[in-house]
Amino acid sequence: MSSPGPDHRDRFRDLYTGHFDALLSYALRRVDRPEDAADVVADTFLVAWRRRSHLPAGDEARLWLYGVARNMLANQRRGERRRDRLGEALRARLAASADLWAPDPSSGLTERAVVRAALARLGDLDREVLSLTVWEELEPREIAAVLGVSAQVVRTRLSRARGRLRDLLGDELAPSGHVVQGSTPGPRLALEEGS
Amino acid sequence: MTDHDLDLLIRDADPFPASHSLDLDGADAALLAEICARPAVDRLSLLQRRRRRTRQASALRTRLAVSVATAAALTAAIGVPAIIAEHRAGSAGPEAGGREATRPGPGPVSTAPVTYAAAAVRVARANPRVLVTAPGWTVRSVEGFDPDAGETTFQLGPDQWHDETFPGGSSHVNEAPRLEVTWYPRDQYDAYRADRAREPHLQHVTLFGQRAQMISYSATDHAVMLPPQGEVFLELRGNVGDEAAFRQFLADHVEQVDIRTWLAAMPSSVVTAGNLDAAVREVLAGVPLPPGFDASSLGRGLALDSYQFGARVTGMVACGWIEEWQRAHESGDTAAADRAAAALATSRDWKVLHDMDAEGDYPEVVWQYADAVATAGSDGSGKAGLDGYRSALGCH
Repeated sequence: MSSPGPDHRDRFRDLYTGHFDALLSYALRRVDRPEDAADVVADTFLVAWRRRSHLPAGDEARLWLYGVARNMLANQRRGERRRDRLGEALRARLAASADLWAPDPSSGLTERAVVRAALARLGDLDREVLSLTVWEELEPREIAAVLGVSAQVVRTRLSRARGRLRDLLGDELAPSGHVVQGSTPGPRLALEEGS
Repeated sequence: MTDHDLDLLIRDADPFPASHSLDLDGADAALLAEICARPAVDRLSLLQRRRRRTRQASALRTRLAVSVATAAALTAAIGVPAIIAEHRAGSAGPEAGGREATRPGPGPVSTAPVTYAAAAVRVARANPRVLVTAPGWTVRSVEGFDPDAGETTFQLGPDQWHDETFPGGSSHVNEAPRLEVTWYPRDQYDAYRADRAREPHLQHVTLFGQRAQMISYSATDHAVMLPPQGEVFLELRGNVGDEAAFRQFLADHVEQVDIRTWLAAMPSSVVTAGNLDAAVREVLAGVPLPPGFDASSLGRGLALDSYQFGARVTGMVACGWIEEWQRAHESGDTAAADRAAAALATSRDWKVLHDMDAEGDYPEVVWQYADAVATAGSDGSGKAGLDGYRSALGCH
């Protein structure tokens, strides 16, 4: 029998303290406004709190949290109502700290901006597989657990996503990885070196 | 550019690199305290339910994508029963295989011959089977439909959507009168009861002859939790008025019914033989069908949620079109191959896939193979993109 007793509360606290930073980073990388990451993190851990007597064991819990956070992001993008106003302090703090990672006004012409723009043009699943691989440093089997697909599907997706991103970047970046001078007509981004 | 080079570029484009450190000024600890101060599990929240559905969908997707997903394995994986439970009103028993007799409940008795899925009957048999019998009330939705966990939402009339603005955003809220009936595993009852005991507005009522806990979450939001019956216990939560109105509603309009009556009230998202045809028609609206498509081969008696059912049906269609494309391609029938490719390309517009997309990634798999066919080329040079489609889509 399960019960939300002290052991489960401690387990939840351990889960929270152990994974808060990772979850916040995950959310911050995927929201338009940093303060929205507070909602994603708060809602994710609220779900974990309510399920604390049934949390996955070991490292699986971290992957499960990513999966929940992914759903929270999807809910947020659909504009769904939040039922719980949690984390106002975190929201305010993130809003106040926004300049830490706000894009430099000139960065629209940098290599970094080009890569971000190309990532944004990928399909959701392709982008998520790439992001989880590089930013969250997850293995395909771990990504499979987050996304609820097989590891083979992740590997296939990863290969395809890299190919597509390479295609999108191909004309923009020189082999050295430096930004190419000039611009390409059409939808391609105009680039300048050293911006 | 190697994969390594590419990954370095992506890493450099990380909007929030690990090198960033934030001074949260204790906001993280404050959030932890806020969460831990929340009343313990009060109900399956919308978010939890969505997660549960997504987890179910994920399980299906995983199974669909596993390379060993043979037709038989797939059938077992998504819970399509091999046995059809058939019963007729007034007969001895609707149970799967006719092995058990029905214990008719006090509610209304249906008179139409109905065939139910064995899996659905298993859920019904394990359930206290509560229905709202007031005029105009119907089952609006079913969230999960397992013997030990699930929820039916009853609603009076159509949805009543209102825009609601709150700090940080706005949302669309359905304010129609509703009663949510949730069933949980019996072994969680003590934990839930203890949680409820900490609620400030806890009272007790008698429902179905049982003493039950009643909580008022707000002036018009009340819930009753019943002791276990069998392997589950029920929680009924509704917004039908003030506390007195809620009590009266439970007394006058909520009944326990027999298995067939309960199943007959379920919507198409719980697919039984009785509503299978209508459910298939709904899923296939606007979907071009491949040559020889036969919906009857879906089998009779499905008990799937809408995501799983959508995956089952659209997978059949996608498989049929890919097979047609392959046949046409190999026989040099360019026109037929083009037709198949064009039909698959319409999958981007299939409403059912867009509905499913919010819950899981099966639509992505369909679109992936539709794209693969579109880019395979008339010479078939790109056919490698179709590798593994049968297991990924769950083709029979």
